[in-house]
Amino acid sequence: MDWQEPFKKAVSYFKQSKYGECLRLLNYALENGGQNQYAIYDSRAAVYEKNLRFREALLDRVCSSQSVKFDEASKMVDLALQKLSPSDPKNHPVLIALQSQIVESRKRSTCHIGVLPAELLSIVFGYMVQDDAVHVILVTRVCPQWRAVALGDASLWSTLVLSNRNPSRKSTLWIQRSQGRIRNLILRRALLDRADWGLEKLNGIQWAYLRSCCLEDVEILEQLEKVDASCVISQLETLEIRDKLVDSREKFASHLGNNLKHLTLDVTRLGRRRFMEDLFLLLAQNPSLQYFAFDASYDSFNTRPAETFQLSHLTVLEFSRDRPSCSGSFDFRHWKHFLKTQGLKSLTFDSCAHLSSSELLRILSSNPCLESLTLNRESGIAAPVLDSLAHPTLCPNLSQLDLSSCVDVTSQLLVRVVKSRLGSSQIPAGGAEEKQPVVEEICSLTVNECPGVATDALPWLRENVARFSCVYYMSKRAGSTRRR
Amino acid sequence: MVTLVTSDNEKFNAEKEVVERSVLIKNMLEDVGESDQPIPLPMFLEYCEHHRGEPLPAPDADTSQDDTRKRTTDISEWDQKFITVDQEMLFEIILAANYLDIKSLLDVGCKTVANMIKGKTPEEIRKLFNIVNDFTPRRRCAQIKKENEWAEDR
Repeated sequence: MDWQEPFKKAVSYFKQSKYGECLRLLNYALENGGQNQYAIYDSRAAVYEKNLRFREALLDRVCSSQSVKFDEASKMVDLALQKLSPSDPKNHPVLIALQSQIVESRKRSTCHIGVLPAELLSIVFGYMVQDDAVHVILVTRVCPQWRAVALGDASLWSTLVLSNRNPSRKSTLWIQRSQGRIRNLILRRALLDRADWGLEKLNGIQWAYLRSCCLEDVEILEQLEKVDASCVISQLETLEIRDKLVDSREKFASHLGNNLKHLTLDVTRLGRRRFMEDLFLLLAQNPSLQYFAFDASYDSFNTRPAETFQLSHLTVLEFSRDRPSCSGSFDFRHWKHFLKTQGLKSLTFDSCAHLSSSELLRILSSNPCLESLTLNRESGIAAPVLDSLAHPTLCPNLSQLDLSSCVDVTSQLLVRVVKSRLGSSQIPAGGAEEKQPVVEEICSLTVNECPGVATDALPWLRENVARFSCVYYMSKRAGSTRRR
Repeated sequence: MVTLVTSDNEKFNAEKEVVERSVLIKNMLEDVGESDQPIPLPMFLEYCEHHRGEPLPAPDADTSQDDTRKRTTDISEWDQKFITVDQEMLFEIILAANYLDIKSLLDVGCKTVANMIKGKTPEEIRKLFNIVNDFTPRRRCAQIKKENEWAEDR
């Protein structure tokens, strides 16, 4: 900070009434990093006033950023205007301009958010926390007022995420600040690394408030049973299980009720047929499910459920096998006959065995509201699907396509699909009177690791798709290729 | 038709259906009954006019801290344009929407502020809103630093 030393010296010269030296040092300080320091402008204004250079003094007051100084500057302008003849062609317009500059500067430097009462700030923070629970930490660090508002609103602390970062202290603090009303409990795998951690640390939680749970290799059922709270599982609306605890999870799942809206199962391998059958029962008893993501290999299921079931509220469906290192693949044949949907907005298939293009097209035609389609690491599917999507009557709302690692994707097909949907908000053939659905443009297209996409088509695709990605070899694969 | 009068005595005529998006005005109209007397309340006609016919939130809609509904910070294109104003006006709109009890407008305002804050550091937030950092050094160093350890716990 080069400005600090000369500024200190300048202040001492001012005290000794050496205004010339003082002014020189203040100018130096401003030129050397002090241009945003209110105190320097304020001091220079004082020097100008001593030297009767009021105009310069006034300008420095305007540069200052504290409201009390704006008042002073405003008063100075008012006084000057009173003494000045309105017909003064030189100074009058300058002072008027200065006055509006003062008003504008005051506006810019005022803390307008300060007018919000605590309850409205709480609403703002609530939106932030809903988006990402860690935002509550952010707002407590801004100023004491925001911190007090955040600490005073228990709902902002209702998400408890525990990993290996001081879980004991965190759970105590969160349970205290949320008044025990933890709604979302996320127990990460890293928690198991902490010898000082035990599930009894969660004892202050009022389990009746729990609605969402994410478990990664952490067994919680026993603890719930100990405190006679296993019934809380039936209240869950969101459940994420990402682990290998097959046996105990079967018991856990048997407690689930019919309130589920979000279900994610990311498990290494479902070892027993029983679990799969339980899962189908679970889906059948939760018709309000909106989100279902399934990432597991399972290839020994033989018993089909007795009847098909409708998941009419389901908007997101993801089937994937995102661990190429693990053996086995997810076999779609087990699902296709009895899983019926009609309102899907997002559909993902990643490394699914026995998924046929005709089956996928059937799903697409029965879900006309689809906005996002992801087909990754599928073979022989993408080309026929793209061919059908080139007719925008199929999924007219589709705007996001990810076909990464599909070898049968070609640039000709991609161009056909994008071209057929260009000119957003256009009504397809048939005329306005028939009230045809509006066709959306493809605004996001990802075709990484697709060798069939020719380089000469890339400029056209980049020009016509807002977010386009085509990486021929991803870094991991490139590395492994080089090693071979 | 209902006549609204701003604090500086400007008069606006609007349809009852439009101004009733404000729960406060709706209640006032119910209290006053059929009358030619103007209602001394300001603007927002443009907002209410645009959202005419959209379902109003149920009077007993649960907005308590135990609300389980997923709230997002998405704002429609029209609302975004409407709320693109300077900070002084933005916070005035939020205060007025709160006073007039126009929940959808209050949400748009609060979401806008939330979106302005997201992705910024505390220092950037202070700069954006001209907030003075008046934490005492002791407090800043101790408790806040400790809590910052969890800033990545997702």
